[in-house]
Amino acid sequence: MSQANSSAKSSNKARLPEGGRIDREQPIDFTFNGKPLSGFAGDTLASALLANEVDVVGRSFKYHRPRGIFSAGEEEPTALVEIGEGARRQPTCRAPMVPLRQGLVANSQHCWPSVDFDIGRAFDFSHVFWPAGFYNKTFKWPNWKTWEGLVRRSAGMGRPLTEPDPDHYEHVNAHCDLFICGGGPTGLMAALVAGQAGLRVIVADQAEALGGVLNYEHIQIDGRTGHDWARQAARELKELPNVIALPRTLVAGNYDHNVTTLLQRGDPDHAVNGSWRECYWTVRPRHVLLAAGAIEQGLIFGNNDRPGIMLAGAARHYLNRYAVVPGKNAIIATNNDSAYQTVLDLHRKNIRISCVVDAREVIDAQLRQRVEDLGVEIIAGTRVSDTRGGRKIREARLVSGDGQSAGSRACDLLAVSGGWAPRIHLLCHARGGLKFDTRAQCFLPDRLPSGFSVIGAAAGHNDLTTIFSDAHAAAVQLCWELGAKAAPTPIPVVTHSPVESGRVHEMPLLQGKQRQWIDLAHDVTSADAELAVREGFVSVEHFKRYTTTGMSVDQGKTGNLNAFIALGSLTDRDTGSVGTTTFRPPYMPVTLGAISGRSHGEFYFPHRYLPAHTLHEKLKGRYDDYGWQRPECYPREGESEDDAVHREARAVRAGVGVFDNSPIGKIEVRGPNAAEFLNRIYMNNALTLKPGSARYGLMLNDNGIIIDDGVFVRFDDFFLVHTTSAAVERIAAMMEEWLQCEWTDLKVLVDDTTTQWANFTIAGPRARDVLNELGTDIDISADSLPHMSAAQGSVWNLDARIVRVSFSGELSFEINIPADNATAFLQAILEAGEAFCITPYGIETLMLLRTEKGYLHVGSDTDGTSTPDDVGWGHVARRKATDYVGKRSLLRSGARDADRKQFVGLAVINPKQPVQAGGHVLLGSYREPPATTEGWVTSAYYSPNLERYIALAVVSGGSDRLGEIVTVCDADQRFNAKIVSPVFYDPENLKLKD
Amino acid sequence: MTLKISSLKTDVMTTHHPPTALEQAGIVEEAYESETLRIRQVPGATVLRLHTLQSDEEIQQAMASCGLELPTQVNHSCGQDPAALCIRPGEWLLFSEFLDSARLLQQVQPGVERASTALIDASDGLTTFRLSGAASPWLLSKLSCLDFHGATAAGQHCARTALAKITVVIHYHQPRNGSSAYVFDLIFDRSVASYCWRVLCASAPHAAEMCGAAGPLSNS
Repeated sequence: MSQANSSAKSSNKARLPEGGRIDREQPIDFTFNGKPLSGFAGDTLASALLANEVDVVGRSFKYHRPRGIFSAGEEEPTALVEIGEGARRQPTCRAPMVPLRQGLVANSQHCWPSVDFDIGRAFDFSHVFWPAGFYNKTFKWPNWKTWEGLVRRSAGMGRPLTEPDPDHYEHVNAHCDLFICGGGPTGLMAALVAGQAGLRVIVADQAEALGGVLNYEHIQIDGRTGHDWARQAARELKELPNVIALPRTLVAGNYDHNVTTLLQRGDPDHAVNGSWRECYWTVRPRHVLLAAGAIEQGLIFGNNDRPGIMLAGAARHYLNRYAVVPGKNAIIATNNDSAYQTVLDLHRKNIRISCVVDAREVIDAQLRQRVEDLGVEIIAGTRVSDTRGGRKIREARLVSGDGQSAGSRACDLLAVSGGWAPRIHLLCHARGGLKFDTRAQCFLPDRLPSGFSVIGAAAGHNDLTTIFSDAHAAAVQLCWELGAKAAPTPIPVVTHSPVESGRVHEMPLLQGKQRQWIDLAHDVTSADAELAVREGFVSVEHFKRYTTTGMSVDQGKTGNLNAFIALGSLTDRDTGSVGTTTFRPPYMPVTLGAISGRSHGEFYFPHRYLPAHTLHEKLKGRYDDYGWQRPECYPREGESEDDAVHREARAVRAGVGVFDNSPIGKIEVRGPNAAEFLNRIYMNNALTLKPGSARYGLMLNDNGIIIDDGVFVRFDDFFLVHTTSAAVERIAAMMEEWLQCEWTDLKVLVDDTTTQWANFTIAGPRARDVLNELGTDIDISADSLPHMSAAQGSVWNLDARIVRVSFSGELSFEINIPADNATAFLQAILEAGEAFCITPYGIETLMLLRTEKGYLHVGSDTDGTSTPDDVGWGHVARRKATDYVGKRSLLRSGARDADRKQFVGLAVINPKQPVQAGGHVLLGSYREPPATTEGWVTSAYYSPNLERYIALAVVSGGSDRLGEIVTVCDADQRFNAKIVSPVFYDPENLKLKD
Repeated sequence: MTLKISSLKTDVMTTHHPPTALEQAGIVEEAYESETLRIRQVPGATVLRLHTLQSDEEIQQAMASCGLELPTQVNHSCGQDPAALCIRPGEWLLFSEFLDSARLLQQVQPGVERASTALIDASDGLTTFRLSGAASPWLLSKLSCLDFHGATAAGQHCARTALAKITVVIHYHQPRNGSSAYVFDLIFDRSVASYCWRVLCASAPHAAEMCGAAGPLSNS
């Protein structure tokens, strides 16, 4: 035996010398609250803490009372701990769900300075001042803000992380015929039948291994242990190529059309080996089979939250699976038969059982005899009324059915069972219905949605033989429904199974002053329930929200049912009439990182690259995202971005520049009715456009609002529609919608060819020279190819389309060539232009140039209210006689209001005064806010060509106010500007006529 | 500093073929390979978009006269090279790995009635990645919600769908290279080639892991 192994054994004082499904040859060291402890491979943090006799694991949410381990599963309401360190710290982990691993660091949360001495316990001693809803009533004076900081610091569970998550997460989509939620005996049986029939099956269970209760209860199936049967079933499933079995996988939610989401946990050592931490599955099954089992419920009595009070099933679980003795002197308190199995199991391990406290007067005679034969006393018709103890329970006080004291008993373990509530959460997600069953004292499935079934303990069955035959029958039926023939799979024969719960005794609230917890996780007591009822919150939904029962991290998995029973008891209603609240997804918390998957960083959205991207990089373009990764400008060594933009703008005005405009939308519209179609889409007339000509156009929506602008060109047999680069998909889709839904009589084809063609704009007084140097068979003289015309031919021996339009205000040729050749072609332009000192310019430079020229940029100079009138195109809109999208809306009085925000230029009085987009325009000079804004600056630049700051703006009634002096309110600055025409440069368009 | 244009000559300009979309985006890898997965770009693939107002019968006849079979059911494809993929009513992609666009245009153009049909060379605007190997359905399942495992049982077909936030046409087919194994071709906008490449390569190890751990999830 190794030294480490020996050390683990010696520190595990509550560990039995043998038994359990742990690997005693693999000791594991971990720390809890800084104290080194040890366990074994196969342990959970909870089992290891119990083995190390750690009683107080955490502190309660509101009163900071000491809390221990209450359950053995995801329903755990009290043992919530922080796991890990640094950026991998995970708050609010349920100790029973944390697999023990070497070096695990675990800490209690929600306590200060330590879990053993917590200052917050003062809230417990003064609990009468903090009833349910106290913060709604108490913190009104002088106002909530005064108290908010204090309350927020005191409330909450766990510390949020402040560092970026270092782990990565994966996503998987899957389709299957049958999805089975739960890998216990029911789920395994159904999966075997359906899988062997050839159905595509996915079965998921959040435990480390499939098998559920078979992994810890004493069960004999087909002559072997339940655990062996489960392992064999899991092996058989693995052999089937059409079955995916997913242990360590939470079934998080079920949504429309049975879409079901899962959260699969990765390798616990993912941080070391770099693998994924969690994988988020989106499963689209044809049918969902809910086989999730049931959750044992607690009992309500005085001080029922002390460490040492534990669900009876959990006590059994720790004993059988982990060989951990949760207490040396146990009392079992129950209202049903299933807790008697705990008696039998504890007795088998020679653990002292003080007594069984059974709330029922009548107990199954055979069962009673069996227990009494072991020498265990059964006190029937009696309940636990209160407990005593500090850091652990030490005494239980009993009360008889008629309210008389029945004495007290010493104990260090109080194993309780209040019956079993089926895990029907997924059914609730799917909007299935529930009904209350008085025999089982729980809500059972009632109305099932289409494509959804519930079987096994989740359907209220608790006899293993019934469960197997139920699962088998359901699977055979589903095989038939889903088009497969079930193979003759034998139904397992159960020769030994745990005691079933039988009839569950109804347990009304105890009368008395003692504090009884109905929701351990949120510290909700019976007094809170009584207060809620006194104040009229008797609807179950109101009651839940007032008391906050079931609203903590455990979502009431062990508390809700008792809360509804308590509400019924307080309002003289049966629990069925009280009803239940709705469980909503997710079943357990899901990491945000898992939902996000890889959708962050470089994969947050698709980055689009220009076809000549590598050459732009060599040109030292400074990139930003404009829907595409585009160079803003090309700074030279030592140049600021502004310097580069100014240099490039001067170069274009004085000589020639080249701009990569490849993202510009290029939608080809053809067909017999193409002109008519565009005439309806555009505010401008498309019918009169001659082949070889181009026209600027505005597109409006139904409300007459500008949604895009651009130049459309007519070639012999088609139109080429240039849209703004960010809008091309949207505009193409809009065109399709009009064609497919409204104008079905039009024979038109719309094809987006944006990425097929690279587009380079050569602009400036020497542009024609560069193009001639490059070589083209198109006559590019001003007479043959004037402004707003287009031609097809070849440039640099490539198929090309040249469009003579300008967004810079200079002589400009937009050349479209096949995108494969983009890099080589740009290189050729630069070489051809070298003699003319050609300068590549970026999109920020283009924005400066178009601002100088007063050209509108949709999205910058317009917003969701801008009409053609607002931007100076009203006369064109009014002149067009035929109908177009948005025309009728332009006739509304509001669209023609003289006070609408209109597009103007602003000339700053002091030409050196910097101005920025976003500044507000106020009437008169040097007005101080508050003042009604008359508009705002939409675009602003320093113009190196005009040697002054210029701006475009929208101003109320702006077009009638040219020459008026206004104040621009720009952050902390106020300065005067004159309203002028938006065209600052070449108002006569002489440059365009070259 | 004066810009020296000649210093900017790119390597790709000295090669025989135009640069691929990946090369243009500055990515030098040519293929991703693991035991169960291979991803590679199909360089120089020809893609023509055939879009028509004609009836299915008319266009089928017209293309048949050019030696091309057209499927008329959406999401169906036929032919090996060139293959015709019906991606929506009245619209097909004609895909060829071996014919250049001039050859394919020459073959198909005679059947095209210009007034009612658009035949557009989209080869420069689209790029193609080919996925092969047992893990390829898993890789696609990580990035798109279609049923790729079930798809493998259904033979050659296609679908236009969203994959990792981009629009792709996915073509499941048997390539004409002597291999009997079916492959998935992803045909999509060239501007997102580097994004798509990176997201596929980043997701590939987990896909291979899933393939090993969970198997093919197919009832074929």
